[in-house]
Order: sequence, then C-alpha cells, then structure tokens
Amino acid sequence: MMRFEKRVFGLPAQAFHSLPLKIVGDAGIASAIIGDGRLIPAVILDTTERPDIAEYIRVHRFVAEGDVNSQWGRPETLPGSVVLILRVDRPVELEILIEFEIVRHGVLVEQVLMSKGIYIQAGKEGDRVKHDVDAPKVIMEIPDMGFRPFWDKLYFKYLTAGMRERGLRRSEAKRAARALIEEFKQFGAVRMPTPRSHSFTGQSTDK
Amino acid sequence: MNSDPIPWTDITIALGTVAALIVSLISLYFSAAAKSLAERQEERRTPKLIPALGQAYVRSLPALQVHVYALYLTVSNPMDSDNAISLIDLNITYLTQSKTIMTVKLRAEPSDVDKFMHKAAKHLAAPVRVAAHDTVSGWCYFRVAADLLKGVSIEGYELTLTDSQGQRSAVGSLLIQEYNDAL
Repeated sequence: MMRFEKRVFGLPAQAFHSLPLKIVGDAGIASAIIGDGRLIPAVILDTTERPDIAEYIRVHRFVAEGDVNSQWGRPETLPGSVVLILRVDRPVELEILIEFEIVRHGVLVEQVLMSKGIYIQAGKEGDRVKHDVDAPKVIMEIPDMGFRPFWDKLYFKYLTAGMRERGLRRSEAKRAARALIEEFKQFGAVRMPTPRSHSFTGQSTDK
Repeated sequence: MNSDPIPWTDITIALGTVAALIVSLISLYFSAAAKSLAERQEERRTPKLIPALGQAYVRSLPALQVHVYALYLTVSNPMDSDNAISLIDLNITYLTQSKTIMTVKLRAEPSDVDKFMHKAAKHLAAPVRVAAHDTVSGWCYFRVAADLLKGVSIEGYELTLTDSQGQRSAVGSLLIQEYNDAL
C-alpha cells in the first residue's frame, strides 16, 4: 500500500498547477445504492474562475466512467487549511484543488476520510445544495493513503487552540476537542440501510 | 661516433606496446560495433505501436439521443517484441459557449457495432494482441450523448491508443464524415 511520509503533506506552492477552490456550500448525501449507505459529503465549489471544472461536472453526466487520483496536502501558503488535490484523467484531464479550512471544514474532511468519497458540484458564492438537489454532481472515491494519522493530530491541535481562544484551560480544551471529534465521528458513521442490510425472508428454493 | 646500441628489451617492449595498442583499437572498434548493435536491438524491443486511420464516420441516432462514431484503424507493431492495445480512446476537443476549450476522452464501445453493421467488416476492440512485426485493423466505435455536444463547437478529434506498457500513441487531425445509409 502506498503511504505518504509526513513531509509530503507540507507542500510548497509550486506543487500546484492551479489555485485551490473555495467551498461555498456543503451537505451530506447518503444513498442506499451508493457507497454502502455511507454519508458522503457534498461540496459546492466556487468555479467562477474555473469554467473548465463546471464543464467537467456537466460532461460527467453523459460519460459513465471516470478516473481520478487524489492526494491530501497542506500548502505552505495556506497554513490554516488542508487541500485535496484531485487529478482527473478521464473523461477530461484536469486538476482540481479543494481548500478545506481546518476549523471550519474539519467535519467535512472527517467525513471524506470516513466515507472515502466526496461529491463535487460547481457553483458560486451563495449557492446551497438544497437550492437544486438535481444539479450535476460528480462522486469521487478518495482513499485514505496514510493521511488519517496526520489529520487526527492536526485537527485536534487546531480544535484545541480554538477552544483555548474561547477561554478554556489547556486540559479542558483538550477534553472538549476530543469529545467534539468523537461526536463528529459518531455522526459520520450513520448509514442508510442498503438492500444487503436486510436478511432475505422466505425459504430458499435452491436444492 | 660512438652510440650505445638500443637494448633489445626496449625494442621488444616498444613493439609489444604498439601491438597492444593495435589490439586495443581493434577491440574498441568491435566493442563499439557490438554496443551499437545491442542498442539497435534494444530499441527494436522498446514497445511502440503505430496507428493509422482509414475512414471515419459519425452517425446521429435521434431515437437514442446519441452520436456514434466509427473509425477504421490500422495498428502496426514494428518492434521485435509482442505488444497489446489495452485502451482505445477518442478525444474530442471543443469550445464551450463560455469559450472554454475542453477535451473529452471517450472509450471505445463494442456494443455499437450494429449501428454501422454493413460497414463493420471487422471490429477492433481493446484489449487486442499485436504480435511483433504484425498489424491489426478494424472498426472502432464510440458513443457520445447528444446533450454532451449540444451547443458546443467541435475543434478537432484525436484517436489515442494505450498499449500494455502504458505507452500512448495518437492519430490526430481526423476528418469525420457524416454517415448515411446510402454510403
């Protein structure tokens, strides 16, 4: 299995060919027929400067298959964020960088890591998933690739710092951060019942 | 005039040195020739497929809301080692209404043979083996949803082959003809 060393996650700005896109809206989508009923995060990206990404998402509706390579990174230029780098090879070749602010979007990163997937949708500031639930989206598989231990430490550190800023003492802040992360994990573990989660009823006729 | 005779040992050493130099030069020549031959042999073992395009048609099927492309492809393997075509893609480059250039890759669809039945003398579907110094040929089919190309301006087509070593070769500048049953 391919694993990243810690230093790989601290990426210089030159590692990217495009600017990270901001998340302007998010939601969670759980479907009985996709991803074993896992709650998969959906993000609306501000693609006003990247019409190619909006077009890629439109095209993907008509092309069943797609290939994408993903990698998590932490750019030097965005110290309070992690970036999900998506290198799409098919049906269109392009690079998509999604910026997740650690404190604000940490729950989304948690959910991506838990569900091993993400829906992306093109949009602009002010768009919400609920405004148009049928808007074109692309679902992508995001394997962990060794990011989980790095993320756990980073998220805990930033949440603890946030709690400290709100006036909690160090030990209280750590306890509160741990409890919050645990809560996010429990929430993210919710699954829709799938056809396979029901037992078959009736007698088998197989001999 | 009194001069010391050159000792016979020095003469022998000098002759030996010259002989060794000649042998070395001959050896160098043969080594260089052998290296060149080995390099040429190695080069001929490097995987490489050469695609060439014959006819190319597109047929619109309004009932299915699709366009089906049929391209007659010939692929030769001039190398000394066997190879295989693992993927055949049609790349369509187009300009969107927002003036963005996009290239979409479409994988060959074996299920669309029947849309060009009387032209489909031979179907070429990946994966297919191409033996050393051999050539394969046949029709490749690609299906595009009509809505994908609605309102866009097609700039060009390119056919790409990916072999079993991951090497890509391409045929560009395709002139595609509208198909009708009279053809």
